[in-house]
Amino acid sequence: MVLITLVSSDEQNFPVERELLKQSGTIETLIVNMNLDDEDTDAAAMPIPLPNVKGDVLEKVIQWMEHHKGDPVKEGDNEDNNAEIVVPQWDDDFFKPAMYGSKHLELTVAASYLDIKNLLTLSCKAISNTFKGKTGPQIREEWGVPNEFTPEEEEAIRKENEWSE
Amino acid sequence: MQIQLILLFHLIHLIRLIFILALSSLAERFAPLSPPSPLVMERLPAEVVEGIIAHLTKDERLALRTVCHRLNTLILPRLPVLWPPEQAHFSVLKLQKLPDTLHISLPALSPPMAQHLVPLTTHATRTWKRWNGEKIDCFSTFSFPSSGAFSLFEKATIDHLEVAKLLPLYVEGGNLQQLQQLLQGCTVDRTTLVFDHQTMRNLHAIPSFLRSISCRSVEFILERTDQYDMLAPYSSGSNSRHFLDFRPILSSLSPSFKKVCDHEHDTHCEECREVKRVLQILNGKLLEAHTVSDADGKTDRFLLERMCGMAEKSTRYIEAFQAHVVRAVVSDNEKGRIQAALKDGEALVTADWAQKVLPQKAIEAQSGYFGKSGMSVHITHCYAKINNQVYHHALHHIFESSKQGSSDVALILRHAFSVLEEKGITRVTLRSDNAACYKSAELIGDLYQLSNDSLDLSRYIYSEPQAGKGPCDRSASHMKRKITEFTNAKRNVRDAEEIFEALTTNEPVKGTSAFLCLMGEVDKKRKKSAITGISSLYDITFEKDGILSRQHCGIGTGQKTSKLTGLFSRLEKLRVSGVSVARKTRGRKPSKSSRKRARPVSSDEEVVQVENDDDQVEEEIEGEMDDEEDLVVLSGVHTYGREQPRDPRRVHWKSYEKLGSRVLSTLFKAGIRSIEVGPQILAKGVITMTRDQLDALIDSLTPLPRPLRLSLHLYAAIKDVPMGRYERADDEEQRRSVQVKVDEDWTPLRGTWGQRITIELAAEETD
Repeated sequence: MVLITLVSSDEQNFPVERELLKQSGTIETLIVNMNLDDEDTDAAAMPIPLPNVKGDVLEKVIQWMEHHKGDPVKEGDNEDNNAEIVVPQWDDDFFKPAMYGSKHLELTVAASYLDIKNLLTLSCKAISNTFKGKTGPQIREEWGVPNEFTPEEEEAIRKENEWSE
Repeated sequence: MQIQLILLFHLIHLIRLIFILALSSLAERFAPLSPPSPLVMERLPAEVVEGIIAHLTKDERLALRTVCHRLNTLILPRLPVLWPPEQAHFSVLKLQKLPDTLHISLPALSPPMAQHLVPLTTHATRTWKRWNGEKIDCFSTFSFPSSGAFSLFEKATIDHLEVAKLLPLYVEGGNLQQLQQLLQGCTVDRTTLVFDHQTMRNLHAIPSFLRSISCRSVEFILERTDQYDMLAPYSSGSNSRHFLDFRPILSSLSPSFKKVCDHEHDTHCEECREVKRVLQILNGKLLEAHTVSDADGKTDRFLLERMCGMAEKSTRYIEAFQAHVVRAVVSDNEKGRIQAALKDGEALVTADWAQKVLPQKAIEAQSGYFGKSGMSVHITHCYAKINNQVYHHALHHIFESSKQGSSDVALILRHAFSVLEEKGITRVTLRSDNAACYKSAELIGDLYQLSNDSLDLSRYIYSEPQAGKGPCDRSASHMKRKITEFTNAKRNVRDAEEIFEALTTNEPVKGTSAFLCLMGEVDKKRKKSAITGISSLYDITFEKDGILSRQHCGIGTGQKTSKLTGLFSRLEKLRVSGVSVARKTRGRKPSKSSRKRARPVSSDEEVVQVENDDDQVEEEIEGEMDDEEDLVVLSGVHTYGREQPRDPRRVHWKSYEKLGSRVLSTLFKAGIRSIEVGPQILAKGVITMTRDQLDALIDSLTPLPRPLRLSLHLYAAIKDVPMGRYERADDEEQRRSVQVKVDEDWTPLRGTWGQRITIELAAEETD
């Protein structure tokens, strides 16, 4: 079993199975470019730095990849019907502790950075689910976003919204 | 010292690091619960935002715009083009009202303009569009009145706000206020409003509505109102509050048969309106089905068209039936007016052929039951006022055989009028149904001749089918009962002579005259005459220089027909021809014994009058055949009975509690002006009032709408009221006048007693 070391932005090392990393488009490209798959290459001696991903986030990403080991990897653009996507129960429980928090957003950003399409899709779906049927102020309150708008700006947006298709 | 400073600096730095670490560990621990920094949302890369909003609907994306600037900036390019409200412009906005629903149609919109309807989806119960290739037809359905206040379009310009004629939104109740709310902020160039009889009273609310939508011109559809009338049948009881729509009658008439109403239309019938509502719902559903089928193409269009055709046809039939009912009511009202206006020596004569009487034997074999030919009996019912007493009388003309043609009727009526003339009748109004023998130009010509020659026939009105011949039918039932009684006594009724015998045997039916007649031959070469559109004429007035015909009783100026010269000579010719061919009878000749007894009725005939105990007068006439007559009356028997006129607007009340002002108001609207509490109620002791109760009753009457004139007759026992002394008049400040008179003891029925109380509310308001 080939292990590849991932180094987070806070210098934490995470040895990960080579098989798991196939889900990440970014890392897979690196592995191919660095010839880490060659038997002659000592993969353990060549850690892959991920300066945009914190250690705790990377740990969650690896945890998710381990659970979804063997899942088919999406190729190209996501052409699935977004309305039909359902977040599985395990993933729902996985995202729930980070719901309404920066962790969830960071995980989503990490999925985007690492090009893990399935994780990005499910994470975005989970975030969008929290927006369902809620108004802007309600979303602001739940996500802890301060109101940046003046009353005039809010009124203008409201009117534009009424006339938008 | 320097080393100490360096150590101190490192120590402080270490403490600071520990503190930061501790804080970060706490932050890590409580991260899911603590609100994230706004920077987190701000730093979301565009592709992530796109991934998130890809799962959101339009409304959810719009809601995200107000979360933060970053999201607003990212979402805005991903929304369709926004059209400012000022650019919304609709050429036509059509309103249609279904029960509890408002249907809005915006035809032929350009796609950008159709986007303005998108916000309606929030409030509309249903919204759909139909693409016709270039333009979009938009339709929305709202619950109306709506549960919450909202406006349809903001700052939109509407060229024509059109209220549909088929399913109009009437100007009544809170409709205008609701519409004003829906169109708040809009500018309307032209408005079309539809009134019905009920909404005319809400005219005062129109100006403020038009101002609110900055309307420049307004169009009122008054078609329904102008030709709308509500009629109250004269009859009391369950139909007394039943009003009918007069519009179907008048809609297609020429101006001379129309009349502009001179009264206020302030009443309506919920039951009649319910019929219209049901039809409107059906038509509305079909209308919606039309649109649905066009939109998705799933509906069977052929079936839909058939359904539409059936609905239209059925609606037409129902309206035609309503028109028939209204015509019947108009005709009956006219009859009531004629009866009420009868003067001494005047009569209302109703003519009708009774159902043919079949020969019957007391004991009849089954083989003899079949193949019978009936004998004709013509009934001429007379409602007359003689010496200020109202009489009902029916003349039965019995024929062995008759073709029941117009000439037969002319001869019968001539004889009937001669009989009436002998009894002091000078002026007659004739009424019959629309049978061909009555609605005939030849008969009208004959009657015109009659009206000039002898008795004054002032008017001829026709009743509606199955309505208006009650007196004749009643008399016919008396006749047939008498015949049945005759056959039950083991006697046979095989011919006209035996019918006559049956009617005159024992005690004849009171208030009837029976004539055994023989009809002469009519000259078939007589000149044919015609009156234009006679089949649609229901009211004919005989004047000196011709006839004045109307399509409906008393409505319109009428159509004058003065050139009746071709008809004048006919009756004379008929009489002459009748003489010449009198013996060539069409029917079976009477028996010899009858001929011996028969002689014509003439004015100088001696009559035998027998007064009996019941104030009945019997008169027996015997006639014999005369060559000078075309209609030969062989025998005749008169039996007179007196009947009190029945006031059709009299209502019997069963309890004093019902005499509230509300009930009386309803009765007034129904045209009932006389209320009588029956003596049978008094006998049960229900009505026993004290003076206070009488005062309370009068007080309950005084809020009634003015002006009015009420004559209320109460037969009741009033305690604490001296006989014939109670009079009361309200003060003049209230501009009312109430007069109450209590008559002396009055005994309406044997064994009961009471007081007759007359309450009169003066109608006119004093200045």
